[in-house]
Amino acid sequence: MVVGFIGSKKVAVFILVLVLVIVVYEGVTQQVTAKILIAGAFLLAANLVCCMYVNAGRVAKRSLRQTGFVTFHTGLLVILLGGVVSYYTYSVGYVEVAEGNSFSDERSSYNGWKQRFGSRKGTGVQIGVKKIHLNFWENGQIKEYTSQVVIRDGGMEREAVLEVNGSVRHRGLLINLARYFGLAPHFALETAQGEKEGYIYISDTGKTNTFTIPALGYEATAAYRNITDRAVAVSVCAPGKGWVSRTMVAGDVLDLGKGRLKLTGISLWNGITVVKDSGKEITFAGFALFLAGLLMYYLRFFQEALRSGRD
Amino acid sequence: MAEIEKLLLFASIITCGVSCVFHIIGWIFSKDTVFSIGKGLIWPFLGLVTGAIAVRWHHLGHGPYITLYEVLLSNVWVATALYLAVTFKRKGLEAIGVFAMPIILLTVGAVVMSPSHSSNLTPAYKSVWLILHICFAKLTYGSLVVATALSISILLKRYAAEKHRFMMRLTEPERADRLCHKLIAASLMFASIMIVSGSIWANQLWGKYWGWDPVEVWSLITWIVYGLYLHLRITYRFKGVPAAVYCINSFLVSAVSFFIMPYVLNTVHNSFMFAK
Repeated sequence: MVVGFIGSKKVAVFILVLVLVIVVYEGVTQQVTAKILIAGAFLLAANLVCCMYVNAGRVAKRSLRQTGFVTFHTGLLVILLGGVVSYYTYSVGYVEVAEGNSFSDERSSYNGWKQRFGSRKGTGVQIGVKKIHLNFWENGQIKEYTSQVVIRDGGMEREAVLEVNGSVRHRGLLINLARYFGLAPHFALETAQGEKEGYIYISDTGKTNTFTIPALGYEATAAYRNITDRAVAVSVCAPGKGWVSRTMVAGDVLDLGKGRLKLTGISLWNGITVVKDSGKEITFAGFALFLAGLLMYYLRFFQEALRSGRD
Repeated sequence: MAEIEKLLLFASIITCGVSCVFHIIGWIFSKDTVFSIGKGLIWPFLGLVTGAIAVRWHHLGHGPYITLYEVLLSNVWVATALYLAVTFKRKGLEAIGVFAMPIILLTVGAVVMSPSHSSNLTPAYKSVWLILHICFAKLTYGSLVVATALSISILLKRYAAEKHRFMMRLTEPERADRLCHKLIAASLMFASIMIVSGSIWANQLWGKYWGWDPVEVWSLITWIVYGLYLHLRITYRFKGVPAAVYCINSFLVSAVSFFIMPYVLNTVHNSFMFAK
C-alpha cells in the first residue's frame, strides 16, 4: 500500500511541481546547491521506482503502450542515476600542449583541474601532440581544427585524431580538443649563470601574453598578428634600456645586456581536456531507453493523429 | 544575394501582416471572403520565407541554424508549415489562424530585429547531433505555437462566444482541447529529442553532457512544465479552460528559454546563437 501511494500519479504530480520550483529557482538565481537538486532527484527516483514496481506486472499484457510507459519511466530513472554517478565521479584536467610535446594523465601535469569528490590522481597514460591542423575562413573564423595525437599506455601505442566534435576514448578517459589554440614560441636564454629554455603559450583569444624572463626577472610580452605568419612581436623591459621590442622569427636573437634571448622555434599549441566520468554511459543508456519508451507509448496516439482528417 | 534575401523577407512581412489583418477582420465581421484571402495568403507567405531561407542557404553554403537571425527565420518556417499541416485536412480549425498568425508575425518581427550578418560553418557546427538538436527545437516551438493558438481559442469560445457572434466560428472547445493535448504530447517528445541530442553534442564538444547552462535549465523547465501538463491530464482529468490557461502560460515559459535567456544571460548558447 505504501509502495502504491509513493508510486501514485498524485505523488508524481506533487514531486514534479516540487522539482519544477527547484529548477525554476535555479534558472532565476543560479544558486541552487547540488544537495537540493540531488534531494529532488531522489524523491523523483523513489516515485519512479515504486511506479515501476506497481506497473511492471501490466507489461505482461503485452500492450505496447504499457511497455512504453514502463520503459520511458525506467529510462528517466536511469538518467537520474547516471546524473548522480556523474556528479560524484566527474573530473577534468585542462592542459596546453605544443606540437611535438606530450603530457601524462596525472593531476600535476594539468594547468587546470576540477574534481568535486574523490582524489583521482590520473592513469599515467601519455598523450603526445604530433601535429595540429588549423585552417581559417577569409574573415578569420576557424574552418578546420584537428590535432593528431599519440597515446601511449604501458607497452601499447596508438595514433588518433582529435576533432572539435570528435573526442577520443581511451581506458574510460574522454580526450577532447578544447577551443583554445595559438602560437608557442620556444626561447633559449643565455646568461652568465647558464642556459634556460622553454615555451611561451600565446592565446588565440587575447593574442598577447605577459611573462617574466627567468634568471633575469625582466617583464616581457609576446604577441602575434596572424597565426600563419610564424613570427612573434617580443617586448622586454630591460633595466637601463627600457622596453626593447622586436618582431622575431626562428633563429633571431634579442640582446638584453645581461643575457641573450634566442627564439629557437615557433610551434602551434592546442588545449586538451581529459575527462573521467563514470556516469556518462549510464545516462546515455537512460536516454536510449527513455526515447524508445516514449515512442512506444505514443505510437498509436500519433498514428491516429496523422490519419487524414482525424483529431 | 543579400538584396534578394532582404526583398523576400520584406515581402514576407507584408504578406504575413496582411494575412493577420484579413484573418482578424474576416473573423470579427464574419466576412468569409476576407477570411479566406487571409488564409490563402499563408501559402505565399510560406513560399517567401522558403525563398529567403533558400537564397541564404545557397549563398552561405549552410543551413539556417547558426546565427539567431537564421534560427528565428527557420522557426517561422516550421511554425507556419506545422500550422498548415494541422489545419490542412481538418475542417473547422481555420479560425485558430487568428491567433497563430500574430504569434508568427511577432517571430518575423524578432527576425527583422536580429542582426543578419553571416557566419561561416565553424568545426563546432559540423555535427549531426547539432542538426537534430536544432530541428527538434524548431518542431517543439512549432507545435507549441499551434497548441497555444488552440488554447486561446478555447478560452475565447468559452467566455466570449455568447457576447460576440463572430466567436462562434471558433473550433469547438472539446475538439481544440483534444488537439492541444496531442500537440503537447508531440512537443514533449520533440523537446526530449532536442535535449538528448543537445546533450550528446555537448559531450562531443566539451566532454560534458550537462552543464547547468541557463538555456539548458530553461529547456528542462519547459520540459517539466509540459510533462506536468500530461500528468495532470491523466491524474486529474485536467482539460478545458484550466488546461488552456496552463498551456498559454507554459508557452510563455518556453518563450523564455527560446528567446529571452540567450539575450539576457551569459550562456554558452549565445556564443552559438549570436555567432560570436
